[in-house]
Amino acid sequence: MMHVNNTVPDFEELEHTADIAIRVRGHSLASLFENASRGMVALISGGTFEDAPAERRSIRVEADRTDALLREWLSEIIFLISVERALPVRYAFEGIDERSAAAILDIVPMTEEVARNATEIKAVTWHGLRVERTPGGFMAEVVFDT
Amino acid sequence: MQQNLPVLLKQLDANLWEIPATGKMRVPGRVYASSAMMRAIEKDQSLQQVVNVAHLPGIVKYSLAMPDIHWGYGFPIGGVCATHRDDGVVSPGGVGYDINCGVRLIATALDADELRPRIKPLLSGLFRHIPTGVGASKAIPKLNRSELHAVAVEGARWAVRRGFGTSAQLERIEEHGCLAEAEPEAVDDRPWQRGADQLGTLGSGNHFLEIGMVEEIYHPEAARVFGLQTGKIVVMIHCGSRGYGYQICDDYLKVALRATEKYGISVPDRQLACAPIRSEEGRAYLGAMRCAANYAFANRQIIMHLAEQSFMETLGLSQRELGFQLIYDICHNIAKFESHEVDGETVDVCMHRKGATRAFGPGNPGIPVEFRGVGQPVLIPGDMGRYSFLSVGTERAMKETFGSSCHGAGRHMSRKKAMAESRGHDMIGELRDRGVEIQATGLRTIAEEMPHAYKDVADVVNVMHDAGITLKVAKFKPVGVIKG
Repeated sequence: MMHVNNTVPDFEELEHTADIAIRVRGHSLASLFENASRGMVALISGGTFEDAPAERRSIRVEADRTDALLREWLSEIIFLISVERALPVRYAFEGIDERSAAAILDIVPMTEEVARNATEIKAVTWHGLRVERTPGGFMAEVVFDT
Repeated sequence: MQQNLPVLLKQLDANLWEIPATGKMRVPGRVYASSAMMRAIEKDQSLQQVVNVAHLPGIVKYSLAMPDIHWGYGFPIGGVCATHRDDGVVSPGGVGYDINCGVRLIATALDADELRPRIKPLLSGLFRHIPTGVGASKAIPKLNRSELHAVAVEGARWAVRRGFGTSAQLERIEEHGCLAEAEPEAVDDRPWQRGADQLGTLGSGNHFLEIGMVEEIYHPEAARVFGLQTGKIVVMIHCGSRGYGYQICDDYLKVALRATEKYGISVPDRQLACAPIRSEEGRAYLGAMRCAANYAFANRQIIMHLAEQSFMETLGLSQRELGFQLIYDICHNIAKFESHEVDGETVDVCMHRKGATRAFGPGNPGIPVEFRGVGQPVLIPGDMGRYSFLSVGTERAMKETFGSSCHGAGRHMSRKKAMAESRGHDMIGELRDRGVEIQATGLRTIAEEMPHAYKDVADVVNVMHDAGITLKVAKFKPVGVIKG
C-alpha cells in the first residue's frame, strides 16, 4: 500500500465568475489526485476541520482518460461528503495509473461549525477539465459547479 | 484555463447583438445586452459558449443569451436553445446540475411598515422551520424510496397531497408543478441517496428566501391581476432539486458523453455532451431529468408551506390575516417540449433554458387563465441588498426568444474576489444600513453573496423591457433574507 503524506494542499484557485476553478499539481498521479481532493475539501470546508477519530472508506474509480479519471475520483468524494456528511483527511492509495485509481480514505464527521460555513460544491464539471504531464510531475485544472 | 477567444459581434440594435454563423456553427448566436453590458460580457468566455451551443445538432434559429449571461460550464448561464424534437439533441449540460432551480413569488396581506419591527424574530422563525446550508436536511421526516418515487412522478401535487399547501396553488406553477413522463426507473441509486432527506430545504450558495416590500409598480393592470399593492410584503423563494438533481445531471453527463460518441456527434466542449432526443439515451435522460424537476417543484411547495407556518406562528396571525397567495413559480434550469412559431410554421422543440425563464405572452394556453390578459409572470431576483423585479412575458418574446427571458442579476465578481473584498467589512451591518436584515448559516455565504458581487439586476431587466421581450410590473425592495 502506497501512502501519500502531503498535508498542505498544493493548489491555486483560478478566477471564474460564477463557479470555482482550481489548478493543482502533484509529483505523481497519486499526489495529484490527493492534492485535488484536498483542494476541493478546503474549498468546501474553508480549510478547517477537526482531525477526529476517523472511519475508513474505500474508493475505486475507472475511466478511459486520465482527466475523466480525476473527475470520477473527485465526484466519488463529493458523493461521500454529501451522503455521509464527512470529510476525508487522509489518503492511502492502493494503486493508481492513468485509467484507474483505488484508495482508502480516512473520513471524519463534518462538525456543525464547519457545516455552517461550508461552500456547497454540486459537481465536478467537464468544462475546461485537463490533466497534463509537467517537468515536475502532473498539473490539472478543474471547474466545480457551486 | 482556456484563453478567451475573440468572437465576431454585430450590433443589431441598442439591446441586441448577433454572432454570425461561422465554421461549424449551425445557426447564428443572438445576445440581448446594452453596449455597456456587452463590454463586460466580452471579458469572459460566455460569448464563446454561445458559439459552442450553436454547434448542437438540430438547433433551431439561434443560440440565444439573455442579458444576465455569464460564464458557465458548457452552456453560458443565461443561455436558451431550442432543438428540433424529431431530429435534434438534448444536452444535460443545457439544463445544468441544479435541475429546475427556480423561483416562486408569494403575495401577502402584510404591510411592510408593520412588519419591519418584527423582522428579526420572523427570520429566526423561518430559519428554524426551513433548513439551510450545505447538506441541509430533515425539514420533513425522511422519505422511503417508494415515497420518493411518488415525489419524482407527482412533483408539487405530491406535496399538496401530503398537506403542504392547496391544490389551487398548483395552477400557479409552471406546468402545474409536475412534468409528465417522469421515469423514476431511469434514475440510478445515488440520486435517491443524496435526495432522501433534503426535501423542504433551501441549500446554500445563491439560494435564499427573501421577504420584500413592493416598492414601485410600473404596470398597474398586471399588478392588480397578481394582487400586488405598493407597501405590501411579498416573499420570494429560490432553490432547486438539491443533491437529487445534481447527481442525476452528473450521472447522465456520462451517458451523454458515450452517446455523443455513439451517434457521431461533434461538440466543442465535453460539457455539451448530448444525445438525440429520440434515442434511448435521450429519452432516459429526459425521464430522469423530469423526476428532478418534480422534486424541485415539491421542494418549493413544501418550503412555501413551512414559511407560511413560520409567519403565522411568529406574528400570531391566522392564515386569512396573513393572506399568503402564490403568484407564480418558474423554472430557471430546465429542458421541456414546447411548440413555437418559427418562420410561419409551428415547430415542436426541446427548449433548453439554462439560467433563463419561460416568458410566455398574453393569451398563451400554457399560463393560468386569470393571467392570460397580461402575460406570464417572470420573476427576476436581484442581489440581497438592492431589489428584485416582476415582469410579464410578451408576444414579442414568443417571436424572438421562444418565449424566454432573463432569470436574475448574474455575478460579475467571483466568490474568491467577493470574499477578498468583503474582508474588513461588516456585511451584516452594511445590509442593515440598507434596511435589510439577514440570517445565514455562516458569514462566508454572506461575504460571497455580497450585493457588489452581482450585476445591477435593474440593468438586466431594463434591457428585456426595452427590447419588448418582457414588461416590468413591479420592483421589490428586500427587507429580510435567510440564506444557506
